[in-house]
Amino acid sequence: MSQLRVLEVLGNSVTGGMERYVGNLLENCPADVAPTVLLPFASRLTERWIACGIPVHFGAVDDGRDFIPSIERIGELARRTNADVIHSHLANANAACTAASAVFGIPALVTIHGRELTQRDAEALALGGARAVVVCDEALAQANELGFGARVRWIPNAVDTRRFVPRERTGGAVTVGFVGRLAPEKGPQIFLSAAACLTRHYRNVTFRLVGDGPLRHALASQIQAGQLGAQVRLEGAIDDMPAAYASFDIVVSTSLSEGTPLAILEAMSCGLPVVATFVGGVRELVCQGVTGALVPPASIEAIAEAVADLIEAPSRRVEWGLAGRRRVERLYSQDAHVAAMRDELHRVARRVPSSNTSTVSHATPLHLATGS
Amino acid sequence: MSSAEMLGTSGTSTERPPAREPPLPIAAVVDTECDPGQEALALSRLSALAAGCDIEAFTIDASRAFESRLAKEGMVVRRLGRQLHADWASVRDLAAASRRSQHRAIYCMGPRAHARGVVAARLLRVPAALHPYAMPSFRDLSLARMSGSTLFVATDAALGHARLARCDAVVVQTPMGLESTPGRQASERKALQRPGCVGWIGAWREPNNPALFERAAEALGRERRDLPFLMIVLGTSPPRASSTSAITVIAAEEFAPAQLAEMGVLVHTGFDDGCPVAWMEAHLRGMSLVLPADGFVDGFVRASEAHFYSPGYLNELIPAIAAAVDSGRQPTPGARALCASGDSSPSLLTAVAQVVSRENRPGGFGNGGEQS
Repeated sequence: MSQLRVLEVLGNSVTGGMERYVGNLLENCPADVAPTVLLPFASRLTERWIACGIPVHFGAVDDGRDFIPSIERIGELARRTNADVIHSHLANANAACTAASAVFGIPALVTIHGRELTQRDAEALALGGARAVVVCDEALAQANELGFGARVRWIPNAVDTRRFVPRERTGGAVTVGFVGRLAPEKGPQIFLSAAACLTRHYRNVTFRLVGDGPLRHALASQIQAGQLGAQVRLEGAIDDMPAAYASFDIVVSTSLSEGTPLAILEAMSCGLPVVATFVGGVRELVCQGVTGALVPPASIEAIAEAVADLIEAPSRRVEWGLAGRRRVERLYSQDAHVAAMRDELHRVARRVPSSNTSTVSHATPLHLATGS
Repeated sequence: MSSAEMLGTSGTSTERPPAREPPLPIAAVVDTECDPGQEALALSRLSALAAGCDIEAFTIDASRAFESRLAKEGMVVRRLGRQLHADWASVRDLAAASRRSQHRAIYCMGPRAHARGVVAARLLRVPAALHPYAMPSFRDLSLARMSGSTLFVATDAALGHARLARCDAVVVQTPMGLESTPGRQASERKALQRPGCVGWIGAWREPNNPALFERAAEALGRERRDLPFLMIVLGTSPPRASSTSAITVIAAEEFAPAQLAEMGVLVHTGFDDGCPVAWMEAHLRGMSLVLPADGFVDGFVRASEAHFYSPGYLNELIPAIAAAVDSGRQPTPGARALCASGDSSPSLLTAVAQVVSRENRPGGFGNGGEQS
C-alpha cells in the first residue's frame, strides 16, 4: 500500500499543548503516513519539524476575515501534495478545513483538543461531513448528546514513555515544577502565590516555572515584588523537557480549564507525583491519593497544603510517582495513540490499513535528531 | 437562522404558469451593493427564474425597495447583512437556512454572494451557480474553479476567461434585462428623434465613473454651448449637484425605459458593466451609444453600431460623444447583436434546472463523497 498523505492544519503556532500534541504525532509518525504541515507562523516547534525534513508551510488559517482565502490555501496545498486526508487542530482550523473538505472533495478529520466542543466545532460537525477525534471523554459525551457520536472517536492524549522516563532520586532539596503556557487559563500566578506561602516555611525548596507566554513579565514583577528570587525561577521555554522533569520532585498544575494536559502525562511518565486542579480531563488522568492530589481550582491554600504534604512525605512521592508511571504505561502510551490515530486517518481516507504496517516507526525520533 | 431577518412575501401578485415539473426550491443569494442598475438586472433574472422555481432570496447589501419587489414577485426574502467578507458565521447562517428549506441549488449574484453561496452549497452538497453582473472577476473564476460550481457568463470573451482559468462548468447566458421587461412591444422600441441630448444613467458610484461623464460634458460644453447634458442618477439618496452647469441632474429611484425618452445619445462610463440594462435597452431602441470597449460591452455591440472609447480615457470619450451627436445616423438593428448568442443559449430557468440535474445525476457532486 502506498503512503497515506496527510495535510496537518494547525489553527495556531504557539508552543502549547495542541502544538506539542501534533509534534508527538509527527515525531512518531508511522512509516506509511507522510505528513505535510500548514500553520499560521514559524515557531521553535516548526524549526524542529523542518530540520527533520517534514514539509512545513505557513499561511493564515482563519474562520473570520480570511475564511475564503484560508479555504483556497488549504485546498490548493492539499491538491498540490496529493493529500488523502486533511487533519485539523483547533476550532478555527476545524471550520476552515471542514469547508475546504466540502469544496475540494478531500476527506477531513478534525481534532478537538479541549475538554468540550466549542460552538464552532459543533457547527462544523453539523454542517460538514468530517469525522472527529476528541481527546477528552467529556467532549465525547457532549458529541454523543449532540448527535455526532457516530462520527466521533475518543483517542486520549498520550506520552512517549520511552522518552519521558523516571530518574533515580537521591533525596535532598525538593524542587516543585510548573509546566505550561504562562497564560491566565493555566494559572501560573496561582502557582506563584502558593509558592510564596510555601517559601516562608520551606527555605530549601525551590519552585521552577517552565514555559513562556503573555504573563511572563507580570510574573517576573510578582517574583521581584515578593522577594522570591532566591527560591522561585522563571525558566522560559525549554526544548529538553525530559531533563526538566528529571530536576523536579513534584509537578503542580494550576489550570483553570484543561483538556487532557500533556504536562501532567509527561510528569506521570517521569514518575513524578502531581498536584493538580480538578478541571476538565485532569480528573481522568490523576487518581486522587494514588498518583497525585486533586484540589479545587484557584484555591491557593489547597494547592499549598497539598504540596506541603508531599514535601513532608518523600516515600509518598515515590509511591505516587511509580503509580503514575504504571498508569500512563497502561492507558496513555504513545504507541497505542499513534496506532489509533493511524487507524482513524486510514478510515477517513477510506483505506484499510495493512496488518504489517501497524507498528510504530521510531526510525528518526525528532528529539534525537535535534539532540534534545 | 439567527442573523437572517425575514422580510416577508406577498405571494399573490405572480401567477405561475402551469408547469409539468414541480417548482424547484432554490436559494438565491443576492448582493447588489444597493446599486439600482444591478438591482434591475438581479430582479429581471430572479423574475425569470420564479416562473419555475420556489425562490428564497437572501440579500446581502440590497435596498429595501429591491427587497419589496422580490417579495411582490412571490419570493421569501431574508436579509443576511452587509458584512464585507464571507466568514464562517455568514456561510453557516446561509447553509443552515438553506438546509432547513431543502433547497436543491444555490444561485448567487454579486461578489459577496458568490463566496458565501459556493461554500454553503458545498457544505450542503447541493450545486451552486455563480452569475456575475458583469465580466467575472478573478475571485469569481477562482471560486467557480475550486468548487466545480457552474459559472454563468454573458459573452464569448467571458467564456474565454473562464476557460483560461480552467473552469469546467460554464454556461453562456444571454442577459435577461430586456426579455423580462413586461408589457412592451417591439414597436415601442423605436428610435428617438432627439439626438441633441447627451445622457448618462446609473448610480453615483465610483465603478460607474460618473465623474468621467461630468468632465467630458464640461469640456464639450465649452465648445458647444447649446448641447444639453442629462444625468439620471439612480438610488434612494439624493444626487449631489453636478460640477458643471451644463448638466441637468435628475434623481430616480430605479431605472425605467421611459427615462431614455429624454436622451438622444446615451454614454456609458462604467469601468466594469454594473448597469447593462440601460444601454442594452437604448441599443434596442436604436439610440446612439457611446460605450467603453471593455470586452463585455463590445461582446454585444458591433464596432459599426456604437462609438467606442478606451475605458476611462477622457481624450477618447470627448470625440466619441461629439461624433455620436454629429452622426445623426439611423437607428441600428440592436436586437440582432443582443440576441446573437441567445439563439444557442438556454433560458436562465432551463440553465439552472440543468445545473441541478447535472450535479444530482449518479457520479455528480450531489451524490458522491459522503464520509462514513
